[in-house]
Amino acid sequence: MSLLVLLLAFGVFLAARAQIAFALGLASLVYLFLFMPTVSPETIPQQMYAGADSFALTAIPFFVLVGELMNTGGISRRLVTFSHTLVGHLAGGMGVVELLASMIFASFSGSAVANAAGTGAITIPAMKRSGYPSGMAAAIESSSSSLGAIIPPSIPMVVYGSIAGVSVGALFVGGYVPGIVMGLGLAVVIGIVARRRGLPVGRRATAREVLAAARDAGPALLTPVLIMGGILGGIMTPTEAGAVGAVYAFLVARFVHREISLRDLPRVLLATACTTGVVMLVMTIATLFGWILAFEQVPTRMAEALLGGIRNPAVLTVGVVLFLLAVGTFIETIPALIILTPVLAPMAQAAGIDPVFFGVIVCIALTLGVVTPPVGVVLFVTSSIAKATLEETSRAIVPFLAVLIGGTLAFALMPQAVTWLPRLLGY
Amino acid sequence: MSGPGRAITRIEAAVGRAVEGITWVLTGVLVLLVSVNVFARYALGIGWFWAEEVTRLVFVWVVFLGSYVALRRKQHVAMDFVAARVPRRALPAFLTVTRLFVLAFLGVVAWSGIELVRTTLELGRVTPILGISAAWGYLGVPVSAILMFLEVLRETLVGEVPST
Repeated sequence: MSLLVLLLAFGVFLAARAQIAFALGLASLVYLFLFMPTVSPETIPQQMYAGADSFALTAIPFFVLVGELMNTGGISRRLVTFSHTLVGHLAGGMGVVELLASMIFASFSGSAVANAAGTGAITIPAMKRSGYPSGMAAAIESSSSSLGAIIPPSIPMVVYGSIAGVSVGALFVGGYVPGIVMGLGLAVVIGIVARRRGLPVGRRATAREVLAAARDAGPALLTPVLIMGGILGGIMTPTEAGAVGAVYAFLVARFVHREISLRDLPRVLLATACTTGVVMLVMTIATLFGWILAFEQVPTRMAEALLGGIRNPAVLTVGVVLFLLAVGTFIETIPALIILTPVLAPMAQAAGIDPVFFGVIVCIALTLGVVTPPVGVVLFVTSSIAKATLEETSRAIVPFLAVLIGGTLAFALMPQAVTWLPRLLGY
Repeated sequence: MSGPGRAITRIEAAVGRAVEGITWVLTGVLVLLVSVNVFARYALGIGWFWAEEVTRLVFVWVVFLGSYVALRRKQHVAMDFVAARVPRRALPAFLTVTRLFVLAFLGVVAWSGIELVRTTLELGRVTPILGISAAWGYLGVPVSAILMFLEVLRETLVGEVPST
């Protein structure tokens, strides 16, 4: 009953167009006022503070900043050129070039949106020039950018790891195999779509051209090596690796490419703080909300009510994936992750599901929400770059979405396919 | 624009610019703090025992000030599925009602945050490593709430309609 009031209040304030974070806060206030009047009001700021006071979450601005620096400092453009020399002659032409560039970008930065804005600004116009319709160009960019939060580093994985108490490094490594396999799946679909439309492919680049592009992109290409190498080698925590990666990306953009100056820094740093504020305001207030839920033992009760009968880990995982895909269509990845992780993680644990595997699957399923119509941030970004309507992009994305959802369900049924790599590397 | 709307717009713009300046500097400090600490540990062989605590303190402030900057720049996500169906003429009134609730929430956070800072100071609670007052961190909550209150109040008085 009291729980119903909490969720109802949240829904009403959301519908009233309060920001998600404030809707959570207002629902919490209503609840505290009605059902927990003896709780000290100081609990509110205390819980909010506790939600932000984390060294692990400090990685978020760093992985955002790397993406910002890549886009400002000419790194994104070089990655696209490099991809072009590698795969421009394959079926799909510019579409496959875009996919590869997005996958490389994903190994620098932790966010699907930064990926879409960064590579999309260059590749969407190029795809359109080579004959892709606007909606199709936006759809290809959207679906490949969604890999941004699956291929490490990944901001959703940082959030999940810090809430569920799972090693962020292990989650990162767990993202490689699904990210790459789903990327290959997308490449096949792009090839088929392009062939059916008779879209041109580029000529094969000469070895000299490949080398020249590789040399140009080379210093930047060391960024993911530095980040993941530092984490896997046990030299740096993910947070530290993010900061070092950001400094390195800045040095490359400043001294090798000479495309960024100190004067750009205020704008880039402020944009980073802004994105961090968007993610973390929800985090701080959701911590208060979650504290109420935990106080009322909602996670345990809900898990029992929903899945009390399900003992089979595979059935449970697939059920969770379907549920999250539905949630992801109308709530953003990070807020959904923050609200649901405290409910889902204990459930998986009770069913004996590997925590790293489960975390990776949850992050993937929720990440796909950014590219599922009707409400997907990445779709908005790419459609506006491509000057396509949301309907055109939404229609064009269907085959790509089928690959991504099919891939997610397939991995949900094959825990070993996700966990062998983290195991191999000692997590 | 009404008199109070114009006045608060001017005040908010000045406050906003100042906070934006502080925010980007703190974000830069955060990056340097963490990366230089790694460098110090491996290249110089000295770990700064205070680095993690300071990092968390700076991060908390980046979060709380960044939340306000993001609010000014309309980056916090809200759902339009109902607002999009409200008749255009009724939209300002619809938004004003919601904003009054948001203002109430921010008011409560600001007030309870100030209370928390006050009791923390009274009890003399300090951080484990640096030994500075724990109130330095907590202060971020009411400061952020007051700043966001100012911005939402401005939106309310001006009767701003978001572009969707």
